[in-house]
Amino acid sequence: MSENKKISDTDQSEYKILIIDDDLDFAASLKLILENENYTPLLAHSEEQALESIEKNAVDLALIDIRLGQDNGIDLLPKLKDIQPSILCIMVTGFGTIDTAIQALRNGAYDYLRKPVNPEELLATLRRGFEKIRLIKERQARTNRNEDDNE
Amino acid sequence: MPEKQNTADETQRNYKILIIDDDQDFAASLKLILENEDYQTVLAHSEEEALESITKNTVDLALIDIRLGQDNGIELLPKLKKIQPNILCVMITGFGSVETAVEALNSGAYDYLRKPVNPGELLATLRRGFEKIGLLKEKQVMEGTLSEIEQQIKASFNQAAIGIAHLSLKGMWLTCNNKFCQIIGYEQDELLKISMIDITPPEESQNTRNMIDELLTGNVQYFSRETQFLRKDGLPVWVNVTISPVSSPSGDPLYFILFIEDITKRREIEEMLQNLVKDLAEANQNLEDFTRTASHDLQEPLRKIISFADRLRNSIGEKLDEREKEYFHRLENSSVRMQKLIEDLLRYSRISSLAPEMGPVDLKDVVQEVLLDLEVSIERTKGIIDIKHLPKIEADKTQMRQLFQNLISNALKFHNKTEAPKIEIDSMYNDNGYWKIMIRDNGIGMKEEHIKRIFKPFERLHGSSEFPGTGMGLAICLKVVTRHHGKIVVKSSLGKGTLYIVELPEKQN
Repeated sequence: MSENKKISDTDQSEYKILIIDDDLDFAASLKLILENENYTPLLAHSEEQALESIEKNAVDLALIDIRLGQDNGIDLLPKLKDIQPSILCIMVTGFGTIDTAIQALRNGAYDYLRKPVNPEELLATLRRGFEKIRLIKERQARTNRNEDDNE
Repeated sequence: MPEKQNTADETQRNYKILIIDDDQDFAASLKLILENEDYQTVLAHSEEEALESITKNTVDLALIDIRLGQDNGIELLPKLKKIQPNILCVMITGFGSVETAVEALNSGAYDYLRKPVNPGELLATLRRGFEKIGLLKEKQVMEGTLSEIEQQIKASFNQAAIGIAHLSLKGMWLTCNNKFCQIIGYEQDELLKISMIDITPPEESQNTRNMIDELLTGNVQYFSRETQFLRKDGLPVWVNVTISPVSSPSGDPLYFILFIEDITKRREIEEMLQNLVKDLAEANQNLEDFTRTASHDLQEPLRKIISFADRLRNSIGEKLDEREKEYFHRLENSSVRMQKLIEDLLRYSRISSLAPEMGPVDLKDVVQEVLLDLEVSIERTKGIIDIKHLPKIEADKTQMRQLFQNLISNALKFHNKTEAPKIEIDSMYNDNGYWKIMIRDNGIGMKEEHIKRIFKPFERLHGSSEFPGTGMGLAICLKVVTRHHGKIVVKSSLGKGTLYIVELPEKQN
């Protein structure tokens, strides 16, 4: 099973994370935390920028501010998934907006984080997300292999 | 993927959740929410109860209050995992204790929920957890199946009675089975350090390289041939080897797979057989040479005996008395008989030693010529010869003449004293490319047990005074037919005539 092992050993830097937040400072600090952990973060400060970035890059996971300037982070979810169906979306919510967060989960978000974001919590949430991505990719690889075998 | 959606929904009620909380009301309300969603739930209000419950039940997920009376929920984590390593633990923390929650995550908790627990958030968290559990279970099943298949393949590979090995595109050994090692005489680890060329005899190495290049072009799917490999002890071993490339789904060659079969024993037997055949052919040739030379050399003194006897008779023949004349007559008879014997012997050996000159022959013409030669004896015996049909075939004309001469004169010779000989000659075509030529007579016939003997040289069933002859006739017939790739069968019984069936191919290949 060396193949599977290879996937699980994949360098964290291979995972691309898109940070979507109009708060430039907050986004930059998230980026710093992620880079420190060897992830590859990309920044987008508006819906437009986010959609442009996701068109160009194979993004695995998006951290989305639930209040994105005049745009709504929750409305952004289906648009992102249209472009990249396998993307995992983690919403970042302001203090006390738990109902909005639940709404986002119902709309297909994978998880949510509360501002102020605790770095440890952020990383734990990402690990959980990437574990799922890895398991899905493994399943895809198995399916492909089976299809090849069946040919 | 509608399939996955289904499994996720339907297996929900198969998931068991352990709620560990000392706040009985809170635990009960969680239970209600979960049961409403078709999950199975178990309650525990202390560490002790939790450990007892998890020992008895297969629990997939535990909801653990981080403050559990005098027990610490975080410390419970490793204890639960020790009993059930795959359990997912979701911590429930008091309001505002993010640091404790992070500590729990670092201690192996899957996720955490804040009190007061929002039902929507609870269910979303559970779905996330069970999704992971589902994926992991699927993976385990798949890997279990795969490792089972792998083991089966491995066993077949290792225990195969044929040598199997994988060869890299550069010609290095990648893996091999026991039989392969046994045939080549290397241990597996020794073999993996050397290349295909290392076990190829030098004179074969260019061939081997060409073969590999050819396979890499993709024009050829595989090679199968008999060749030699060099064993570790330096001795060559004959193998039947089949080599073919194994390619990735996109068609790029990845490595070669070789199947080898030890054919040394077979080659030895073949070689032995070939030598035997050669020796036999040589011995036969020698014998024939000897016969020809001997009979040739015997003729010379015999001719002298005959010619001097002739002169002697001319000069003193008149002076001899009756008894002396009789002696002289016997002397001459014996000499002539000996001459005939030697001539037949020569004829016989010539058939085997000279290559037949094959050409189109009309057997009807041949038989007509033979009948002309036999005119005297036909007239004397008042024989009737009825020729129905005879084919044109590819054959040596002279030998065909000898064949029919012998067969027809035999039929005339061995006739019943009371009856004139009647000979019927006919033929028919067999689908396998052979003509069947039948020569039937009404002669004296022979006992069945004698039939085998009549084709041997000098074999005679009757005294020469009764039926003169050298006993070479049918031996010559058999030789002619054999040299024409045909066969001859005799059907006869005493007093009932004889049927000769000669089978000859229409064409000689």
